[in-house]
Amino acid sequence: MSLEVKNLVKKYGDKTVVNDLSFTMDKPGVYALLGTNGAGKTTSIRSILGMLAFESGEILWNGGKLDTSKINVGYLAEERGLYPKYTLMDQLLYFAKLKGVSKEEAKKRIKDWAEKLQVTEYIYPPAVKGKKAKVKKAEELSKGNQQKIQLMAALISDPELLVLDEPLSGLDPVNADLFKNIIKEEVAKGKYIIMSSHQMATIEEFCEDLTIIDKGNVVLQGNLNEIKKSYGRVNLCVKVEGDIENLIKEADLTVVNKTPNEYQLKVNKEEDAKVLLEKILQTNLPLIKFELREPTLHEIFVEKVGNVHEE
Amino acid sequence: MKNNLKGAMSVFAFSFTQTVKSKVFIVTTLLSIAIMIVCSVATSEESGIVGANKGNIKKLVINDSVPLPQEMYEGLKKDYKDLEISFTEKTVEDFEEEAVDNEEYNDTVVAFVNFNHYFDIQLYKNNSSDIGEIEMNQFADTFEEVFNDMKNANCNLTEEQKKLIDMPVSTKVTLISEEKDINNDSQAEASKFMFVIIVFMLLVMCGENIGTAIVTEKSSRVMEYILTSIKPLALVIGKVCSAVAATSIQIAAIVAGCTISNMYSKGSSDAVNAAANLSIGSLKIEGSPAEILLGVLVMIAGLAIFALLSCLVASTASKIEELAEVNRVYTFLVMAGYFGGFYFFTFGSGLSNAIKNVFYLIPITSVFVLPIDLLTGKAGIMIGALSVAVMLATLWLLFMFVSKVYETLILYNGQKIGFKQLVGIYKQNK
Repeated sequence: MSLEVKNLVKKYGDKTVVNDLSFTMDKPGVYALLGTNGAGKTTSIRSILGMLAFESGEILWNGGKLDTSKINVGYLAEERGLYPKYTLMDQLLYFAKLKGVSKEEAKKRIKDWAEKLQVTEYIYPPAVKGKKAKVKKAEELSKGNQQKIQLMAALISDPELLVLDEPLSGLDPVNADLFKNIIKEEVAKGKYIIMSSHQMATIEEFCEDLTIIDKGNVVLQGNLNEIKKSYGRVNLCVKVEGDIENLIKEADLTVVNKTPNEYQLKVNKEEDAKVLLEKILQTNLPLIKFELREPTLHEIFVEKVGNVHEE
Repeated sequence: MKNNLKGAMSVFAFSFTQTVKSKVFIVTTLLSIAIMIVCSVATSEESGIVGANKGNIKKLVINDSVPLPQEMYEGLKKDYKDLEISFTEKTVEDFEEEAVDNEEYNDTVVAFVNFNHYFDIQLYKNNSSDIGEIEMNQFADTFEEVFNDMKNANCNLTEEQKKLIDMPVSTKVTLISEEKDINNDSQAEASKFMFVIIVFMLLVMCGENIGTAIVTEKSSRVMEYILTSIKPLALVIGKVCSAVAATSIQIAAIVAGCTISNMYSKGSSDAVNAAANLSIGSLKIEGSPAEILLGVLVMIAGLAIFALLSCLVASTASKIEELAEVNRVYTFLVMAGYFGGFYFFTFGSGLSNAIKNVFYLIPITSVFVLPIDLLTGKAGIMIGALSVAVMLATLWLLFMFVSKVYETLILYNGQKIGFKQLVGIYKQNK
C-alpha cells in the first residue's frame, strides 16, 4: 500500500494556501505534517481527504485516486466535534454505520475501545441504587473524554489510513500517554498515519518522515534522522557551577539560550566544542553537563519557519 | 451520482430518529395537539354543546320528488330509533322562509330527494339548530347507507324503481340561514386558507429544523468527521428528508388535533372550526388525475426549493446564535409566499387570469396556491405543467448553485457570509 500526494495546490480566491505539496508514504508508519498556525496543514489534510476541492494535484492510494467513500479512512479533526445532545452510543453507532460497519460489529468494537480508552463508565453507565442507568450525552463529558470518544469514532472502522490532526492537544500527561500507546499499536498493526502536531517531542517520538510547511509552502521535507544528520552535532549544552562567560567568548561560540548555570550554544564544528571543554577543565570548575548533540526537531522547526518569516 | 448519494439513507435515519426522540420534538408535538383539543373544547363549551353531537335529530321531513316507497325511509330508524318521519310537498324556498330562526325546527332535518341521472339528496337544518355538523354528516352517511341497503334488499319495488335505485347517490348538507349556503362553500374557502397556513407552518418548521441541524453540525465540527464517509450532497439530502419527515409528523399531529377538535365542535364559522373543518372532503375535488398529480408535483418541488434555500442560508452561519439572523432571508421568502397565498384566495375571484398565472408560475407563491387550484379543478393542466417546469428549472439552477458553494460553506467557520461572498465562492468553485 502507498499514499502519494502529488503537486497539491489549493487556493482561496487569489490566495494560495497550499502550494505544490508532494510527499509519499510507501510503508506503514507515521508521517508528520508540521507548520505554524495557519500554515496550511488542516487545508492540506482536508484536501487529501477530499473534503475540499483543490486547484491541481493528485492524491493517490495504491496508485488509484483516493476516494474516502470507498477507502477506509479514519479522521480525528483538529477541533473536536461530537453532537452535544445525542448519547455517545447513538453517535458512535451512526459513525460506524457511515463507515459501513455492521451494528453488531460496531457494538463489539465500541466495547473494546471503551475499555482501552477507559471510558466504559460513560458509554455503559452503571445503574445506581436500582434506578435505571442514565445514558451520557457528549456535552456531559470533559474535553479530554470527548477527545477519547472522537478517537474511538476515528478508529471504529479499523481504517487503513488514519489522519490525526493535533491528536494530543489539550490532553493531560496520563491521557496523552494513553493516546501515544494507541498510535504505536496502530503503527504496529501496519496502519498508515498522517499526523499534524505542534508538539515536536511527540512527532520525534513517532515519525520517520515529515514535511514542514509555512504559508502553504514546503520549507523542509524528508527523513527526520537524515535531516538531523545533515545539520551535524552543532548544539552544545554546558552546565558548570561557576561563570564561564569569558571562556565562551574566547572560544567564539554563539549563545542560543542561557539559564542559571546552563548554556545552550551553537558550534560551527565539533572541534570548537573540544576547545571549550579543555578550557573548562583547566579552570577546575565543577562540570555537571557537557553535551554535544544534533538539533532537536523543535530547533529545526523554529529555525526553518523563523527564517522564512524573517525573509 | 450513486456514489454521491451513498450514505444519505443513514444520515436520514439517524437525523430523523434523533429528532423524533428529542424532548423538544415530543413536547412541542404534544403541546400542539393539546392546544388544539383545549381550544375546541373551550369553544364547544361556549356553545353549550359538549357531548351534544349525538341524538339531536328527532324529526325528519322529506320532500321526495322521485318518488320512492315511503317505507324505505324506515331503514333510517335502524340508527335513529326515535326518529319521527313525515313527508311534505314544501319547496326549499318555503322551508327556508319557515325554518330560519324557528326554534321548532331545532331538532329537525329536512331532506329534499331529487333524481337527475343520480340521486341528489339535500339535507337542511336551520341556523339555530342543536344538531352539530358532524351529526348532520353522519346522518347524511346513514341516508346513503339506506339507499345502498335498498339495492340489496328484496323490497316491493317496481322494475323502474329497481333501475332507479341502482343509480349513484349524492348527499349535500346545507345550513339554512339568512346568509344562506355559508356551510360547504365557506368550509371549502376556509380549507384553502388552512392549506396556506399549513404550507406556511411546514416551510417555517422545515427551515428551522434544517437550519438547526446544519449549524449544529458546523458549530460542533461533526461535519468534518462525517465528510470523510459521505459526500456533501448525500448529507444535504439526508438532512432535508429527515427535517421534512419530522415536520410532516408534527403537522399531521396538529391536523389530527384539529380533527379531534372537530369531534366536539358545532358547525359554526369560527376560527377553530374553520381549522377543524380542514378535511379534504370540504374541498370539491374536481381536478382530473393528471391535475391532482401535477398538484402533488408542485408541492414536492416547492418543498425542495425551500429546503435547498434553507440549507444554503443556514450554511452561511457558523454558530447557532447566527442562525436567526441568517434565516431572515428564508423567513422573508416564506412570508412573501404566505401573504401571496392569502391575497390570492381572498381576491381570487376578482383577479385577472394574467395575475393568477403570475401567482401560479412564481415558485415562491405557486406552492401556496397552485396545489389547491389544481385539486379543485380551478387551474388547468397547461398552467400546472408550466408551473412544474418553472419549478424544476428553478430547482435545477438552485441545486447547481448550492452544490458549488455548499462544499465550501459547510466547512467554513467564521463571520457570516453575505450574498456577494456567496457569488464569489460560486465563481471560484465554478
